Amino acid sequence: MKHLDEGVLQQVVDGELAAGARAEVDGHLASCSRCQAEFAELRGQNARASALLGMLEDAPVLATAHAEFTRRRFSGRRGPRVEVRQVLLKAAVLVLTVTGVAVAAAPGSPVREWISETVLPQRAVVATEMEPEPPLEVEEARAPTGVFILPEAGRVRVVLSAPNADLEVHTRLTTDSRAEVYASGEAAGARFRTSPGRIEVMGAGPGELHVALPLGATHAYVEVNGTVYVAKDGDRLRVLAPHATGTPAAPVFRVGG
Amino acid sequence: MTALRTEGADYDDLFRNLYPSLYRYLQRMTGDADAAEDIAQEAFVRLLGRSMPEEEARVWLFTVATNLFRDRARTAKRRERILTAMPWLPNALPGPEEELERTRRVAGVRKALDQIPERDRQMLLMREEGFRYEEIARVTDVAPGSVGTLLARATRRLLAVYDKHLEDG
Repeated sequence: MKHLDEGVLQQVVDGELAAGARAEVDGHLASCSRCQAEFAELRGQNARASALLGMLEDAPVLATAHAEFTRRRFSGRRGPRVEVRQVLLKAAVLVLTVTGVAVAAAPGSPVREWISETVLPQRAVVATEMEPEPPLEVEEARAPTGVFILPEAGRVRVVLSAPNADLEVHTRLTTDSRAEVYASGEAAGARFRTSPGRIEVMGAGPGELHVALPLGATHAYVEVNGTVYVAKDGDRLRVLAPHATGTPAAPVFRVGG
Repeated sequence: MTALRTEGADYDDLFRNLYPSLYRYLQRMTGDADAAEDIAQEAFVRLLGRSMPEEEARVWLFTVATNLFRDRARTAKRRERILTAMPWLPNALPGPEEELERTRRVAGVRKALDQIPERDRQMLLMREEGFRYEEIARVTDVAPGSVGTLLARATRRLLAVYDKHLEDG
């Protein structure tokens, strides 16, 4: 009896066999205990490898990524067109300067007549050329950006790294199972990084950061540069940040105090 | 399947559909979230102006991104980047034993991925992203008929290195 090689068994695991070939393989597997054992082992190894690779999950923040992509997409369009416009601008300035000097120095001169017939009409064109190019509309990341995660083993940490001193942090508890963090205003350009049970917010500007910690988490806290500022204590929040305002259920603190 | 217009709303949809998968693949390949983001962004920028079906665009993006990764690996000190890119792992603060164990396991997976041959890593990660054998063969430049065997061996190598790492502590 010819046994199935590992390549074929792997194709079965991955669903890559055509229908006809699959029927033949299934027929063999039904009657061959050795191939059955190898198939089961291979399937187990694949499942284990998949689970291990899944531990490396680091979800991207799509909104932030899309804003960055839009910026890159449009930042390269100022090329030769700008250079030509700059040359025209310089030429226009030179022409206007010469024109002004000539008119001021020689009233009634033939130059004035020439200017009135040729250069002055050009000025309208030059003036148009001199108008500053309207800025390209680039989708800046000013819309709120954020991310959410599930607790890991009941724990959630929201870590603020190098935040602006004027960043205002609003914290609350939520009945949602997920922890959510989003940045708005000048803080919307912050970068987010997630790992199991952890959200890191990097470089948030002087805007607002909103943090929602799940009620169902056993431990949840907000850290700023390594110091815990807010911690979940049962069904309420314990505020450790200096000069916090807001309410006990929705404290607000400024990073710089 | 209609050809993709690589501008406007179609292209934005393409980005939203494919970026998470490409980023995840690169993050696992490089072990560096910043490099993964940068390479993924560059791959999408290079797609601009091209016209192809979305399925084709997906393979194209992964091919370009893999080549960009290789270029970086050749010129940069890759091992240092992987080691210094650890911060996104759970911080090594004193905590419950299960957290420390998880940290050790994640580090083990990262190390195992780093130690198996690059082609093995690439094939395993592309399969995780749902690519078919024919697509994996195109991107990794192997015969389609050999993908099954190569994947089976790559899986065994990954697990062997990982288990050894755990054993050594």
